[in-house]
Amino acid sequence: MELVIDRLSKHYKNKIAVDRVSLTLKEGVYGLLGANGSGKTTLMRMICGVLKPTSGEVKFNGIDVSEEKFRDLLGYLPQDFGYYPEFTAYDFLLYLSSLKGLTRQRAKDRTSELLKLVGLSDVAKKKIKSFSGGMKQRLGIAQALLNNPKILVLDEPTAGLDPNERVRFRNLISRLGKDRIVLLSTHIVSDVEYIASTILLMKNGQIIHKGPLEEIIRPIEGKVFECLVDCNTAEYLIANYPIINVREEKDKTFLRLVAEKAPCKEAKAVTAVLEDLYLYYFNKEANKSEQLYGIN
Amino acid sequence: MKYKLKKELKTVFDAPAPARKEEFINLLEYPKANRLDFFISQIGYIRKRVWILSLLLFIGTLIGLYFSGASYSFVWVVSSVLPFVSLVTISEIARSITYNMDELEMSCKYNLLEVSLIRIGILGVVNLAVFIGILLLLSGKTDLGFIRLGIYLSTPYLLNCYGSLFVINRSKSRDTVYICGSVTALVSILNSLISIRIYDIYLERNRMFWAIAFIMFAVLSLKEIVKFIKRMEDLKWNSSLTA
Repeated sequence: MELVIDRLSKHYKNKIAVDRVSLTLKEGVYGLLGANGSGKTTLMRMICGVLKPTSGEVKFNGIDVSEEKFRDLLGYLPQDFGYYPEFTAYDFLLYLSSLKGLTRQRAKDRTSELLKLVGLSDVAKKKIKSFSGGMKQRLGIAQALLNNPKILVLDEPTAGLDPNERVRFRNLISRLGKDRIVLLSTHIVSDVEYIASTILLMKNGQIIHKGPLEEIIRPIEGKVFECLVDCNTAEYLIANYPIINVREEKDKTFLRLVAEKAPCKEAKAVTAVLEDLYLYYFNKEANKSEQLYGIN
Repeated sequence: MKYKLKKELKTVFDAPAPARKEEFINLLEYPKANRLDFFISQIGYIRKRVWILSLLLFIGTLIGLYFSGASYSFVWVVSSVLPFVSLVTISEIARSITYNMDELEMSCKYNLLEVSLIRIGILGVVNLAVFIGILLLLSGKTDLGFIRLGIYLSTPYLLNCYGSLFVINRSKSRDTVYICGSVTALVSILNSLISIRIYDIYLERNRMFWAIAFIMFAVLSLKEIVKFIKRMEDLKWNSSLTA
């Protein structure tokens, strides 16, 4: 089982959304991390065949992304999806089952199974328009699993889920990743940290890092520091180092930052986590946003 | 005896929990629906309003013919109502985009393009059946002839097809269907006004005007349908997601 992405690019008039991405994915859970606009959604859409690439190709066991056979093996949860207003959860899954080529009986069985799996059995006959964001998201996850896909692509699957639902979802994805390729993108770093066997870090349309958690955080290992400092030192550190976390405490400021060596005498080296790496790489974007929203 | 033994064994020993049940189930190949099953299933997903409006129009024509006979004014009434049939049809074809289901449908085995083609096919046949039914009812009662009457009735319909598809193919808004509704109302009112104000519009000396209008709107509608089908093959870039 092998999903090969070969020099995949998507160009728009004045923007390169995805820039020559090449990957080979095998069974397992792949977490795609990146800031807004890094090209995650565009990459996922091209992998699912809903967006034509400018160049490059996507193949699963030799089957091209444009073929019906490929779509038959695919489960996809888009970042943003709608539903026909007259549909109940049950109707929605039955409708998509028909598009996924399931027989009527199999569609009914699978729909009931999946509604139970995502905890929507009690509201199966209720209109989707009465659902909360989390319920809609769970329904979206259920539809992606209808055809028991070999490739599962989930764009922001945990958006709108409460902490309990997220834990349930993580467990489900971990199980699914045993015998299929699962590619998920999220802004919630901890989701990727817990379930992804391989992490893909995307920036400006390119995969800048790829590997398991231990490998991917190696560049900042021993470089993450925490310190409790006075106001002036805090200002100096904020201006000169990539800051991961700032917390005001009585008359002092707590900082978590990345530096080659201890930036002040109060600084203590701490174990690096994925969030440190993420914030370190996307620090520029974060600073830009802060300036945009007037946060100092 | 064997049955009793089995029953006894069941009471004595607990059955072990199934091991790797899910993996085993995953290995099974379930029978898949074929294209014909898919086609039939799609008929059920066409909204009732399409069937109801088509039926109402047909029954309305029958009632109208019974009470008022097939006059020129009856022809313009029917030709002014027909654009609403095309509106319902077009809104049905475009509803994947209207309700943001397009991306999901594009990723399915039978994708959005196939769904759209099937919808166009089914609804096209329904519209044609209604149209021919009305034409047959009217043509025997007027001296206009089958082809002339067909052109008078279908030209406003085609104009509306073109106008609505033009809007759908160019609009990025999800509320396109409301704009199409306005186009339909405009076409219907325009048709009524022309028919009332220009009393000789249906006379034979204007046949060239009708023939040109019919051909022009038919060609333009066809071009817009081709454009619409091409649009179903690839998702439009949503700048809000990737900018």
